[in-house]
Parts: sequence; structure tokens; C-alpha cells
Amino acid sequence: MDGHLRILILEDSPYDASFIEKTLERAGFELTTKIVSTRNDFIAALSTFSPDVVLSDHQLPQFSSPEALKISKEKCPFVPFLLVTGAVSEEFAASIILEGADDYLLKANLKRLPTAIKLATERKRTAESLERSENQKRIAEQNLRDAHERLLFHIENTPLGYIEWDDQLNVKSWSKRAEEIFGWTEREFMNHQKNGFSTIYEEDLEWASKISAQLANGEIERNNIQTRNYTKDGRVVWCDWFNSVMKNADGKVVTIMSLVQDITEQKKFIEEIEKLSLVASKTNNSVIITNENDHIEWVNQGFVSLTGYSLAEVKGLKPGHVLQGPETDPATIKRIGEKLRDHESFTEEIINYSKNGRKYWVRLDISPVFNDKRILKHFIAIQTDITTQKEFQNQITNIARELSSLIENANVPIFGVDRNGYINEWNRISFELTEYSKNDVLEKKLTDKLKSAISQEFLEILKNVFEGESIQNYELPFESRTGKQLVLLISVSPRMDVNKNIYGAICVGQDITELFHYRKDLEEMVKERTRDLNEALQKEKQLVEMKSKFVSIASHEFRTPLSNISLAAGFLDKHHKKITPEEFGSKLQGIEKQVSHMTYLLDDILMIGKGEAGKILANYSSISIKDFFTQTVREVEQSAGSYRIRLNLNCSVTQFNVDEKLLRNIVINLLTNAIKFSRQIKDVVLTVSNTSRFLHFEVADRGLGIPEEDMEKLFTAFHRGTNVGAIQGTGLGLSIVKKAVELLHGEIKVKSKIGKGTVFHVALPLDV
Amino acid sequence: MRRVCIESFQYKPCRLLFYVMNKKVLLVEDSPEALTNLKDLMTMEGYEVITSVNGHDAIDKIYLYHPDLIITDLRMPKMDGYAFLEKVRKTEGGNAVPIIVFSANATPENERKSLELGADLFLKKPCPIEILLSSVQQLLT
Repeated sequence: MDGHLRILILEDSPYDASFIEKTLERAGFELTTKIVSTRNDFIAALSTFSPDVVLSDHQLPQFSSPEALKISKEKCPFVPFLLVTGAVSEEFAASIILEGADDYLLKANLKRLPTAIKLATERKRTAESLERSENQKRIAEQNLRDAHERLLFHIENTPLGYIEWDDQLNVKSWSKRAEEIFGWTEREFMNHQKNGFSTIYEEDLEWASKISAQLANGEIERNNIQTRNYTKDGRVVWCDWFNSVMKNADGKVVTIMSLVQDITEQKKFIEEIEKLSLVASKTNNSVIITNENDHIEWVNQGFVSLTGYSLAEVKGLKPGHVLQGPETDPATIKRIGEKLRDHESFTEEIINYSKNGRKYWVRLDISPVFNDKRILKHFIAIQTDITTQKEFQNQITNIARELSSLIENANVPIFGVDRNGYINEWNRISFELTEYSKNDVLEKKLTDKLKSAISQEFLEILKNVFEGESIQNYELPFESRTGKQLVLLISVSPRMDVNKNIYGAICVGQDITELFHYRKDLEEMVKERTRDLNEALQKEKQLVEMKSKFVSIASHEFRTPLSNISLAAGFLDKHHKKITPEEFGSKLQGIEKQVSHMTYLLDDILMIGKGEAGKILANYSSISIKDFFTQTVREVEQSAGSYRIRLNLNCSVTQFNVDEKLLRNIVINLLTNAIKFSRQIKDVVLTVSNTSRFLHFEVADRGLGIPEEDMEKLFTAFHRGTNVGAIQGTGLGLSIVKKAVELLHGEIKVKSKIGKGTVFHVALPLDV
Repeated sequence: MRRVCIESFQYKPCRLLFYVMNKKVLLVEDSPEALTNLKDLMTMEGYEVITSVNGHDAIDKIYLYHPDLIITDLRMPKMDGYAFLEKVRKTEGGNAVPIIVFSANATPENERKSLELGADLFLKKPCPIEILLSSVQQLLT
């Protein structure tokens, strides 16, 4: 006996049990024993202990060996059951053997126990193996039956068509599915088609026959080909064939079995994808083709290089789930989702992540693809890596932001216009100065919004700037919103794009309103001073002129009488003895007359001098108007030889309060002038009248008249009319008259016409 | 046949002989006082005197009397001394006659201008009669 024996001993006497163990050990068994005494323990041990042999006592409390045998045979039919008992009848022994026990032994004679166990276990092994082979045969048969059934089931129910051919490719069997694929029933096909080749599409025929021949002659045992085949109704379907051959014992091909699948749809689909991906495969951009549910179907090499994912890794996944990461903008993702849902074409820029975690920017161009029935089939997403552009763009954006912040916060007014004159720049200081806010002016036309505020000249300047000119330090007058007058000192430069095209102008300025006004004031002041100075200079010049005129006139006026005196005196000195006393007297009178003329002249000059110096004061006294004028006219008539003056006195008053000397001066001067300048027509009229407040008198002559050009300087001392010719005079008379009239608070006016005569009108107040 | 100055008739007949032989002097002067004084003096000195109150009139007198000497004022109506000088110097027979400008406008400017226009001498008013008479004599010899 080899190996190890597991023995279950059902025994209520520990002594007997131990004796049995010892007996077996002595016989050389290696064993593990379990001793139980109750029914429950026995049942449990049968299953848990898995004994090789069961040894059972006959007499047990509340239990018996026949019962134990029954249980044992039920649970473990092949485990030998040996009865070991003290004393039993022969009948009982026979009956229990019949019941199934393998042997029975007397406790008194246990010598036979090892042999009995050996025999029982051998028997058990034989029984077991017999039992097993029986079972196997049964199972194999069953399996075979099942397999056949399954095969038939599969043949009938598989989506693949099942066809059996003989070695001439004549159909032997034609499944239901094949019928569905090709349209022919098994019978129809057998009757009408010669063999399988007749269904093959012409273009595929040549190579398909070649491969079929290889199968038929046993060169190859199985293959997988795809051909186009005609159906009963003449359609062409794509078929995927799985062919295998069955040979007999001689190695001759008896049957060719074909599984066929209609892959027309897949084929179409693949063609479509291929078509779609044809372009995609050629581009360096990353291309993803998804199905209508946004699951990836295909990606190109560009995608692989960009993302690091292979097609196998991403197939069936959503691109967003694969590519997006922590910095991807959720708003963008949301927008993409909406667009996909709406089946729209769109472009987005988004941050994606590669397989190794590299972050990159892509521009996504996603287009839905529809079939001819307008049903969505795919999305094609083209991803362009724009990381570099994006970084550059960010840099530029930052620079632009800095620039615009610089413009905005610069402490000088900066504003800009585009070529069409629309304002596109207006910084904070511009607003503060002009009081026009950004909202007021941005996107508004300069000429509309600020028409009143700026000048036409500035618009001209802008025109030049648009031609490429830069204007420096232009003083721009500007009226603020509330009407304040500003002056901005600005430089205007053209703004150019990268191609040097001028697209606008930018004005950078400085508020110089105060400076400007200060300068204006200064200029004004300088102008005023200059004017004053010029006036003073003019006066000075006039004075000098007057003085030189005075000198010239005075010298002439004095030299003439002096010359007369000198000639007369010299004559008398040389010839007094040769002349009559009458002649002598006449010469002396001449001398006296010249002397008195000189005295008048001197008086006049002195008067002018005094008048200029303001040294004359009017000395009022009451005079008789009639007496005064009559007397004065007579005096003048006498001194002028035979001259007659007409005097018209039309006065309602008789007395007049006046400085007689001054009045005399006025009247004499006017009358002598009138006579002096009207020697041809001797018609001088003096008219005296009065109103309630004034005494008026007029001296009218019909003489030379005064030229227009002399009117202005008529009353200036030493000025003489340009048309007086050789008529004697000092140029002092009228200036003396004017002075005198002013001293008497009166007025003098003159009307004159060349060649017709002159009228002087004097009005003097009656009450002073 | 020379004509006798009618104006000299008012003087004494005893001087007439003397007169006819003497030089003729044309006086051009607008001021009556000055003219009288000059005429009296020159007449008394024995010259035949012709008078004129302006340049215009004097030109005619030159044609009429062919004076040996002219004494002229500058400031005169119608034609002043300068215009008169110019005119005389352009006139045939007038371009050689000595002319004295006798003026109260005694500026160097007037003197220069007068001499430029052909005056032989410029005398300022007033002028001592000795100088006047000696100048006349000098120019007549």
C-alpha cells in the first residue's frame, strides 16, 4: 500500500479506536485518522475530512452501522465502508455486505484489517476509474450533440452567411443568412447559378478565381478575401469571405466552407473616411475625424506628432476628454459643445495638452460632414498649432496694453483720428482739458463732433499728415465743451501699419493756453508800447519838423521886413542928399511899417508859444457886440487898403461876456486870411448871429479854397496850405484862432471848396 | 532902336541922358515894399530898371527889354524863382545874362539849388546895399 491513507473511524470506544490505529500503524500504513462517535460528526467528517476508508463500529449510541453505511454510500459512493465490530450474527454480516459494505471484521481478530483495507481501496480505485470513463464517454457524446446543435444554430443565426462548396465551387449548402445577403435561396442558387464565380464582380473575378483554385486544390487551407459580388437583383455588394477547406483522410479536398459577411456599409464608410482623410493625411496640421457623437474615428499623423497619442489610444474617445486640461478655457469648451450640438462649422482657439503634458495653443476648425440625405455623419476637426503665434500675440497684446495705458495715463493730451476723420484715440488728459469725454468723441467724426472746436487750418494739416508729413509744434486753438478757449501745442504724426500704409494720425500735445495768453498779452503790450513810442516819435518828428519849419518860415518872415528896412535905410544913408523930403518921409514910413509888421509877427509867435505852454487865461468882460464887430471890421479894412467887408449883424443879444483880446484875435485873423486868399473876387462876408446859448459868427470868402489834404493840419502852427503860393504868411494865424476859440470854450468849423471859397464858423458860449 | 523905360519918367529929366547909356536891370519881386525899395535904389545908382512881380511876367520882359542883369526873388506866385531860372537859362539870349538871386529863404540848400539852376550869385536878405551894389557892378563888367 503506497501513499497516505485517510481513515475515518466511527467508534464510541476510544480504546478500540486506538487499537485499530495501532494495528494499522504496525502493519506499515501511513495514516491520518479521524475518530467520530455521533451521527452528526460522522456526516460532517464525510464531507470535510474526505476519507479514503470508513471504519464503522456496529453498536453506537443512537446510531447504527447500517444507517452509517447508508449515509456513507450516499455521500461518498466510492469510499470503502468496513464494519469493525465486537460481535454480530452471520446473517447481519451478510445483510450488511449486501447493503454495500465492503467487508466486515471482528475486533477480536483484526489481523485481517490491513489486507481488507488494501483490497477495499484497490476496489475503490478500480470502481472510480470505471465510473470516470463511463462518464467521459457520456459527456463526450453529449458535447458532440451540443456542439452540433450549436453549430447548426450558429449557421442559421450567425450574421455571417454560411456556404459549403465542393471542390468545383458548386454549392452544397447555403444558409439562411447567405440567402439574405445574395437574394437567392439555396435551391434557386443551385438551380440557376453554375457556381460561385458567376456572382463575382467582373473586376475581382481574375484574382478571386486564382485564390479559389488554390483553395480547391488544397494549396492553402484557409484565407480571408474581400470581393464584390452581384446579388439576385443585380446590386453589387462587398463581401468579406472567411474560407477554409476540409480534406478527407487521403488529403483530398472534399468541402470548402465559407463564412461570408456583407461589408458594403463598412466599405462605404471606410471609403468615406479615406476620402476625408486623404487631404488630412497630406497636411502637417492635426486632423481628427469623429463620428456624429464626437467620438474619434480617425486621426492623421499630424495629430500623432502634435499630441503624442496614437490612433489606437484615442479611437472611440471624445477629443475634448483627451486633449483638454486645467488651463483650457471653460467658456470656450462650452461654446464648442453648443456649436457641435447645432452642427455648425466654427473656429475656436483653445489650450490643449499633449500626452506628455505639454501645453499648447491650437486653432480648431471644425466642420460637420453630412451625407447626401443631410444626416450628420462626422465632424472633421483641423487643429493648427498656434502656440508661437499665441505667445507672440500675447507679447504684442501686452505691449499694446502697455502702450494704450501709456497713452491713456500720459500727462499730456493725446488723441488720434483715422483716415476718414473718425476719432479713435482720446486719453484722460484730452478729456480733462477739452471736457469732451471719450464717449462724446470716440468713433465720432472730428468734423461733426468738434466742428466748432477746431479750425479749418487743422483739417488741412491733417490732410498733409495723411500724405506722410509730420507737423511739429502746431498751435491748435480749441474750444472746450463749455466754451473755454484753449491752445494746444501739438505734434501730429502719421500712424502706419506694418506695410507703412498710413491709417491715421496721432496728435500729442501740451496745454499752452496760459503760456499762449501770456505771450499774447506780452505781444499786445509790446505792440502797445511800440505804438506809444511811434506816436511819441511821430510827435517828436512833427515837433522837429514844426521847429525846422518855424526856423525856415521865421527866418524868411523876419528876413523880408529886415531886408526892406536895410534897403530903405541904406538908400537914405547913401542918397538922402539927392531926394526930396517927401521921398525921405515915405522911406521912413516904409521902415516903420516893416518894424510894426515884425512886431506883430513876434506877438503871434509869442502867443503861440504861450498858448502851447498853457499860459494864457481868458479875461472876461462884457462888450457890445455891435460896437466890437463894427470897429474890428473897420480896422481890418483900413489895414488892407481899399478892401470892403460886408458885415451882417443878426443878433438878439447886444452884450457879450468874453475876453475881448482873444475875440479880436479870432476875428482879425479870420478876416485878414479871407482877404489875403481872395484877392481876385473881393467878397468877404462876416455874419454874426446868436442862439439861446451861443454867439455864432461866420467868415465867408470866395477865394482859393483849402485843398482836402490840408484840412487835417489846418490849425497846426506853421502849417501853410499847399496852394498858397507866394502869398505871405507865417502859418500861425489859424493856429492862434484855434487856441483862442478853445480858451473861450467855443468851437470852430470849416467848410471849403477849391476855387470856390471858404467858410469859417465859430460858436462861442454866451454864458460861461 | 532901344526903347526907353517908361517907368523912369517919374524921375528927374536931368538923369535921363545918363540913364539911356546905362545898363538895364530886371527886378523880379512880388513884395511891393521890397520891389519899391530895390527899384528906388537901383534907379538912384543910375541903372535902367525894369520890374516884374513874377517869373512868368519876367520872361516876357526879357524878350522885350533884353536886360543886362536880373535880380530875382525866389518865392513868387505863378512862377517861382527856380522855375524862372530854369526857363531863362533855356531861353535864347537869356542863357548868358547874369542873374542874382536875392532871397529871404537864406538856406545853404536854396543857395546850392539856385546856383545849380544857373544863378551867378546868391544874396541873402537882408544884405547891406554896398555888397548888393558892388555885386551888381562886378557882374556887369
